[in-house]
Amino acid sequence: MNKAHPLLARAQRYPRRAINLNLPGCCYDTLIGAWRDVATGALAVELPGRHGPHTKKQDIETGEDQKSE
Amino acid sequence: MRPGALILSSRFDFTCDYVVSALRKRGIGYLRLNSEDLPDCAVTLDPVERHMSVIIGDTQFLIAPTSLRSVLFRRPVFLRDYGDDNRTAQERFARIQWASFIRNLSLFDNARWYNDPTYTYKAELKAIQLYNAAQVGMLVPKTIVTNTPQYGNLAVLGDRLAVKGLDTVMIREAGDEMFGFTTFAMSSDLTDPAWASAPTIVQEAISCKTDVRVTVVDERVFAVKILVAGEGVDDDWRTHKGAAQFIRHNLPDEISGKCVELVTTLGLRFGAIDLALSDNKYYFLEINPTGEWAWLVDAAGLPIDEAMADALSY
Repeated sequence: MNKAHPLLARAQRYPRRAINLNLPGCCYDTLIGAWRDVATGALAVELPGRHGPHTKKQDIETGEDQKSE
Repeated sequence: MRPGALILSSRFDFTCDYVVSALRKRGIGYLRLNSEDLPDCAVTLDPVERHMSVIIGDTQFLIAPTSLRSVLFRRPVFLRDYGDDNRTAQERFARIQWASFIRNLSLFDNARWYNDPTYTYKAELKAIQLYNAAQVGMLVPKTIVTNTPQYGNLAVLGDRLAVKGLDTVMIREAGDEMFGFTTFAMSSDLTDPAWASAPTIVQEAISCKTDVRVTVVDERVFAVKILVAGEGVDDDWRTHKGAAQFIRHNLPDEISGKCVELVTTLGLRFGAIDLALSDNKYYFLEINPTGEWAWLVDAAGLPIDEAMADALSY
């Protein structure tokens, strides 16, 4: 049973990327529960271009829904 | 403060920022608890009185059944083992204990959970999904789960087969990350004895398909077609992720109703459902009880953030 399962053998391999624990120009406000733009104080999500990832873990996951961590 | 909505998440779950923004516009009191922030909070839970106090800085939040109306649960219901763990014993210990603490908040079961982790756990199971989808009258591709496809009666599935993991195929190895997309094969290709090492979903492939992502929040249904270069893709659209377009799509009322019914049948209030549209028929592929949706707010203009805030405010 040393041979890889075909699904694993066919899996795409990516270099694992480090998660950037900061959004540039933003800081996390624990009381508000959201990222704020440091310069304006506005919620990052309300800024044009919406700073930040659209899925968990900054879209680093290769699938849509890496839910584990 | 006695928040009406509780958000259980992590700092980098930016989807929750969309919800926070919409809740603030509605003037709804909420508390967002992130797993990585919990050690910096003073948390006390009385399980019999069902009362929780959370102190963040100088601010105290009181969670009680009389005031808590809804919970947005964005945490995993189980921790997957990706094959490496560089954490210290203390870090692993704390992670496990806090994860349990979050699950224990199911105690507040009179609130509306999006979704209740108990039901999420079961709804994550693909066999359960396929069975219930068929039960509510959705078209489901013929499917078997097997570790011996070479011995299975694949003829009933057709010549071209979709092959995928029974759970997410994601493994970390030596600094790399491996992810298994749905692959396609002919039945005659599935003769490798290595298939025996793990169960696999083998499914009738839906040809000439367009993927449709349906997001259900209570009774509200949002759908997009997923196109690449203006057309549907026959393989796993995620392999074309950078080129994918998400186009608003009006589902027939019957299909929309079945999507809501499936979510309800599984005990959920939220679900992200993958359908395949082929020859004017909608086939159920899978449902993700904790599926992502924030990218659709921007890419397709779907007000799912508003719908979620409405749901939490109700």
